[in-house]
Amino acid sequence: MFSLLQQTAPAAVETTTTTITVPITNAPAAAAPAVTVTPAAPVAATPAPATVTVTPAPAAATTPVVTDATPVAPVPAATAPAPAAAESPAAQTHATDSIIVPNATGADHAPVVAETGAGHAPVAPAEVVTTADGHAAVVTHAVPGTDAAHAVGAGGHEAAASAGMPQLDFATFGNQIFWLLVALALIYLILSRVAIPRLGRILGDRQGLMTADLAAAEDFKRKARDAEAAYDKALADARAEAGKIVAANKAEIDAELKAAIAKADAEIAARASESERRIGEIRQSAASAALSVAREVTAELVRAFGASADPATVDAAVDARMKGAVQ
Amino acid sequence: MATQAHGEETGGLVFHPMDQFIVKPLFGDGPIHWYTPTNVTLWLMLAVLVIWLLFVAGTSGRALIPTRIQSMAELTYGMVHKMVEDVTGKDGLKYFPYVFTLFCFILFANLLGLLPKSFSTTSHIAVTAVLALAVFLGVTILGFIKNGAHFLELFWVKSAPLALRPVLAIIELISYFVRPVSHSIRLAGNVMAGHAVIKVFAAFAAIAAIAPISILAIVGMYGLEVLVAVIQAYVFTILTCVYLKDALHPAH
Amino acid sequence: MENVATYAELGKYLGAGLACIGMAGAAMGVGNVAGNYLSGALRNPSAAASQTATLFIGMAFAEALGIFSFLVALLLLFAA
Repeated sequence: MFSLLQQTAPAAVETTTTTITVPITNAPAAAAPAVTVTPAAPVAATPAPATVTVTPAPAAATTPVVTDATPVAPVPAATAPAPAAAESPAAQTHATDSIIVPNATGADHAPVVAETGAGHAPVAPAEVVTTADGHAAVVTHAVPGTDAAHAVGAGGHEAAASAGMPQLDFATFGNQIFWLLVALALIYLILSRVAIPRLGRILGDRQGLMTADLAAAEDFKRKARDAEAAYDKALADARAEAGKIVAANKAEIDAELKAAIAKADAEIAARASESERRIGEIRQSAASAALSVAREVTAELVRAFGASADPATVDAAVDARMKGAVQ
Repeated sequence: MATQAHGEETGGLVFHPMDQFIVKPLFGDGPIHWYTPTNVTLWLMLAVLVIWLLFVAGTSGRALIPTRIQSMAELTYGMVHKMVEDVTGKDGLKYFPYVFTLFCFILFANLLGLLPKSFSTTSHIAVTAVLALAVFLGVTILGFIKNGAHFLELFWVKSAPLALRPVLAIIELISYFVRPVSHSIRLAGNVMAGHAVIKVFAAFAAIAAIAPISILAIVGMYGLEVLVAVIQAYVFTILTCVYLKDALHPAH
Repeated sequence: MENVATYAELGKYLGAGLACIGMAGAAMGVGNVAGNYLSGALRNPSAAASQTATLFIGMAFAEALGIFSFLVALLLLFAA
């Protein structure tokens, strides 16, 4: 089905006169099969306007394609689909589209022709007439006076394009490329003239501001460090001062203390010499007392032994013996 | 039509996965000339409008502390800028405006294509092929201008053994010329595939019994598509940067 | 002979289905990339951030081939 559409669409484009293309050429040479063109029932015409269902005789293996471009008067045979065409709204707008059955050319072909009535393609793409055995006949009307682009692109002929991939519809390439280039040029101008310099400036400004702020922050940090150093220095100075004062006080106290100690020492020394002197005196008196006691004891002893002795001699002897013992 | 006939056979399901990509004239039914305003025009211009809103209107405050929209613009700018700088080096920054144009266009065309009833301009080979060919031709010409004949050293792999080099040169040459093909089809194919799959799931929603599953599947696919839209823009851009790097420094 | 078109149709659908097998390879490739990235990133988390770009490039290359097979399927379905 697709292929038939694809192949016949250009044929419809190129011609402005009645053309008959038969894609499948091996038509049966038998006697012309009776093609019964059933007038499309109104039921069938309502959902898909202008679609005419043609049921060929069982022998009809070929489904020729008829392209009609002339607003010729309908051949009498065309009266059969006419009711269906009249039902479609499109048929009224395209009154010139007419149905012909060009079977006058030969009886061995059994052309099937249906009015298609250039309808609204997405709703009712009307160019394909489906036969009973699944083959399709394509009838394309080119509205008189239209050119190739119209035949492909116009709403009534969209079915021919939409059957294939719209991406491969080369007739629209020029249009797309032209508008694409326009759009690209516009975008390029917008971006390169306005957006990129502006964004670059905004980002640059922000970067500059950030660096400036960072520098300022660095500056403040340095100042804070300086202040701290000054504080530390003042603290150290104060400490040194305090130490100095402490040292001075200490020296003074030391001097006073030394003086006091010296005074006390002198007093102690004075008292000690006084005591020594008195001890000496006491010792002196004790020694002389001991001598006199010794003399008297010796004189008495001498006398007791019966000898008379000169007291002077006794005294001298005692003194000699006592020398060194007392004192 | 053919698909519809097929759909009728399968009992009421109507599959039109590709109809969303049809190029239609905006006004009337006239023929499509190269200048005809079509839905392509509409969605391309909407992409231009969104880019203008984001990058010009959004940054008009030039705020030091950015607003939300300005922040988005700055993040996008910063990301692409960093990408260009990282991949191509400092001397690639000269081409940053073009790379940024590509990224913004693809990103917003992809994202706008995800709106319901919208038209995905980037799903069309015609669009992505122009983008990829522009990159390919630009990079090739730039390579020859910057490096002269030395640009051909790109295909002569110095680190390989001498016997292998001719073979490698042929492979490199082929892969070089396949670049625009894969570059364009990757983008168009990804976008088209996702949209078509969503459409197929949407067609299944016509059957009441499986409609909830279908809707859940659409939600999941949609999330994936948002990811794909952004990643494909990123990939297209970074591949452009890689090709640009090859043109600027073909030796390595 | 009369079923040529039917067979062509059949072949198209079969071909489209077969082309989708190619996506399995892309899935394995992408999983491989992500898994190896994760194991590498867990071994050396400090180097992970610098390699995300490489991760995405690798994923994109692996995924592109899956997209190609998807494209072949679409072409068979809609354009052949």
